[in-house]
Amino acid sequence: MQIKKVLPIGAAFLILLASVLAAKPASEKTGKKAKPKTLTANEIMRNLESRKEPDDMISEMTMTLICKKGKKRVRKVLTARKGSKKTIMWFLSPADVKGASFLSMEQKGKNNMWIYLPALKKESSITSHGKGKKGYFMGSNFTYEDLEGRKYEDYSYKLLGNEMIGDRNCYVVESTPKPTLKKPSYSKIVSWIWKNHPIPLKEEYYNRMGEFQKVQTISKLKKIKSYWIPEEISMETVKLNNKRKTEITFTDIQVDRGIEESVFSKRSLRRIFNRNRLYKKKQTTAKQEKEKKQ
Amino acid sequence: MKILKNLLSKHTKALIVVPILISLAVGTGIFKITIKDDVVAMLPKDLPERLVLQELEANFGASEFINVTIGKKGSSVFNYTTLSKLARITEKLEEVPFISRVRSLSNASETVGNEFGLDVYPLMEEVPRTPAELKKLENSVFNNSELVGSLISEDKQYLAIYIFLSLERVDSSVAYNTVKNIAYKEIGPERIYISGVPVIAGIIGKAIRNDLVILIPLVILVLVFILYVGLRNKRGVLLVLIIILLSVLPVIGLMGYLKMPFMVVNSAMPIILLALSCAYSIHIIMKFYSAFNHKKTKTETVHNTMDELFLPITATSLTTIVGFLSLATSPLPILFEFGLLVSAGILWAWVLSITTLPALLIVLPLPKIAGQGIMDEKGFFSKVARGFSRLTVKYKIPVIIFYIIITAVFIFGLTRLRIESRIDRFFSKSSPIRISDRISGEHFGGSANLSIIIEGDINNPAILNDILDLQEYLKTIEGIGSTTSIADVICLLNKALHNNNPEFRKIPDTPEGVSQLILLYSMSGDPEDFAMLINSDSTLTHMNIRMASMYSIDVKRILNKINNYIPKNFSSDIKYRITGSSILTMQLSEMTAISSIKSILISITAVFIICLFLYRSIAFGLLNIIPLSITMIIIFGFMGFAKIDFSIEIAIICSIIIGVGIDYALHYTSKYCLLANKMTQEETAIAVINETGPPILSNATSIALGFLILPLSLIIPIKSLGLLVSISMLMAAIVTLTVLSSILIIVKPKVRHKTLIFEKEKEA
Repeated sequence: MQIKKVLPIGAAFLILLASVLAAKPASEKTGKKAKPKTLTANEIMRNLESRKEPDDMISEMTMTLICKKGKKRVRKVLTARKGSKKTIMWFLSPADVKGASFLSMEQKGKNNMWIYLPALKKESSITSHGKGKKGYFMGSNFTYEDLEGRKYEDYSYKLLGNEMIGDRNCYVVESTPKPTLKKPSYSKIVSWIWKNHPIPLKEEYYNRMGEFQKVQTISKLKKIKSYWIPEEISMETVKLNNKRKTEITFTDIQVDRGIEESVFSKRSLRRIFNRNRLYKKKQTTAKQEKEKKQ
Repeated sequence: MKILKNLLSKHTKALIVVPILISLAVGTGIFKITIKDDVVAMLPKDLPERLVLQELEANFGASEFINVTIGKKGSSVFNYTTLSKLARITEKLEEVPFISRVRSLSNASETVGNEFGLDVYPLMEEVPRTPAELKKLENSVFNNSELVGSLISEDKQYLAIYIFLSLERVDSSVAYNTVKNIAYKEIGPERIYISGVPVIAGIIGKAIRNDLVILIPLVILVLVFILYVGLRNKRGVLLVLIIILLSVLPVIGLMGYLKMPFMVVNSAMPIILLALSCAYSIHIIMKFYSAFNHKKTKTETVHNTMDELFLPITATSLTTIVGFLSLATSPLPILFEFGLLVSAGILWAWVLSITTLPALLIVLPLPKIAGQGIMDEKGFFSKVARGFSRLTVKYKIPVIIFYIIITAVFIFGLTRLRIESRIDRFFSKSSPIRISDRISGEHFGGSANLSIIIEGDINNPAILNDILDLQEYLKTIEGIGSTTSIADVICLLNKALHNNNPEFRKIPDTPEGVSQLILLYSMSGDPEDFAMLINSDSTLTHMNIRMASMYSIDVKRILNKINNYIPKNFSSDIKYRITGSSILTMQLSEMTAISSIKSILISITAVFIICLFLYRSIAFGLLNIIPLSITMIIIFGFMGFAKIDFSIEIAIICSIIIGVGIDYALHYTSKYCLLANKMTQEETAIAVINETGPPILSNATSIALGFLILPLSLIIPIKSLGLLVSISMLMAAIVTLTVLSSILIIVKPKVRHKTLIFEKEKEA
């Protein structure tokens, strides 16, 4: 009973945004000038888990599924989240799912989810008591588990060395599941973690048979306010018989805008919000002015 | 011949050392031997159905599963012990790295609608203990029509677990053993049955390994016995043994280096090669020992022996090679490889027999028995041969009439021959796997699979409704169990979304409605289920049909029905492809039949042409192929009467009958040509039978005895292969000795040319 939710996409997004994307605020000495001191594998992974995240975030997410033959399918959603408990998203395209929306909220330790399907004019709550998380997320090759991130205590870590990813210096850390972790999906994961900020720029996943299965890459990072936010993530399955790739890009990212509590309600599902109406104008203006002054 | 003699006298040691070194070097490949056990591997790589199966697996994951059935006849599974056994087995199986997915009641979830919305919950979060909890589970299971007949039997006596192996194919025997070890721990009082295509494959793999390890030594033992009876001295036996082992070893080694795995069909290859290749060495050694006298040196005796035997040995190996090479015309890679391998083996046996063996004879000291004349006039085979000669001369016409009647009767049997490759026939009906398969079939609709891949705009409600209609239609066909499709799932989800209102158990009216339900499904319930039914952009879906394992003819009937139904009844533009293990086995059967007929025709023609060349006479060409044709008709007619299925491994028998059977005819007719026109037809016939009868009969008997070891195999096709080859060899010998004499006495064909084969003997 570790994880109560398997289906709520909102939750998956929330987790995706919370743990994969959000980065620790950039320190004053950013960039390559900073000379990071050498850390142990455990320290590196601890930093990765405890990095600070934005309070809220609004973005447009484009998910492109590329099949073996190179055929592409694109889905676009507008998503907003607040804290680590509330997420809402509206489908913008393709046309056949436009207007469908999902709301996920964690209340009293329980995950509640509502959906709205405009073609069926149906709004419904979904309560899930499932236990699995190995399923693929929205037909992609990200599993719910990949998106959720791993718990620090579940793995043992080994520092394999240092390597450059592009012009970024990285630690290479191998994570292997501890025997106490039930039904691990992978036999090991090798992560390239940026030395300047704890972000995994590349991760290689090895299946339970020990074979190299897929690789996740963050190809574009953007500094927004004090956070380093990945803008492009891809996951590529490399096994020959099942080659495919998912690309996720985030555009129009806004963080810490003070999203209204009322956005995360069932009423919000039925219409796609204008993103400006998601947060309190006044407060935002004040905040923006404050920033300008700075 | 001169070159050979030169080599034999000048480079004796090289002729021993070089071939032995080559044999041993190539033989090291034996350590790289692999065993493969699936039907798919026997089919051509570019066979459309095989490609479709690959497409299916690439898009939707493994299509075949291992099926574990737990239960006890006469008692309900709704009790704490049985359910906790199910939960324990499921849990342990989920931990196995190469198992990608396990489905059972203990990890199933259910999507139910209520007035507030959808509820997705596991059926068994904890194993229910109290009668109330058990009753509650029973009710929710039986409220869900999807589960009954799939995870639990209708009579509540059996539970099913489906185990999907990861796409990276694991060795079936490893998979089967793992599942067995986990499941059998929970045996009693409940029974546990394990079935499914991977299980059959796993058991076959184990049986092949067993055959190779146990049967080969046994065959060698039998051969040693036969050789000792024939040669009556240890050194001779040892020599033959060395030569045949050296001929078989590199062929197995070659399989290792060329990465050709042992499969059901070619697992008999070493035994076939052992039995066939020993004839050459026996002939040479017998001739050498009997021809030796102390006036000549060993080298001279060897030269004389080779003078006499080189041509007949070459001709008989050539015809045997032709028999097996005809298999290389088969589109089935397994038969193609088999034909080439056996041919290569026989070629190598021939090389060893004319080089290493005579060289060894020159080098080694003589046994006491040499020069004492071994051919025993009073031997058993001579008596039998004399019997035959009396019979054929006295009753020449009745003998021919007898054969005509027999042939006609067995031609009728031929029409009843069933061509079948279904793999469960590898085991007897009382074997555990067949029992498991039957239990699973009775309660869960069978463990054979048929898949229809449908390509089109799956979000189109018209296509989904067509799919529902197709499923309804399939239910009316006999032998088809349950069907699963994305359309079912959409109906159920629609119903759940509408507060479980049964009116909404239908496909939504608009494509958008379908897309949005699919979107919902892709995020709810079990996303793995989803990925097994439809691809991510809704252009490809697959319908799974479970059926009892059936005969190719039934599969073909069902296939025809589906192929007739879809184009007529589908209103929208779709493409579809059908695949599944049962279709592949049907393909295997058909290709086997076609390729066997082709092989038989090609090899008979080739043998006929060889005889034309040797005898310069059409009559003798025909005469030589008569005995083996009759033998084949009788054998296959017998199979028709005895209901032995004709399948891929039986195709090999044709090659053995042709390749070896022709040798007997050649022996007979060449001797006839030598003796012809010197005495009356009757006298000639008697003389020919008396002279060629004993070697033909002893050769047939030793091959027959060698192959009689095969019925000890665990695999039924190998058993019948052994039995049938034994019968055919004896039959070929008897038919040759009787029918040829009778025909020759009556027809008296002109001998235009003294045969090339025994020319030397004539000079002597």
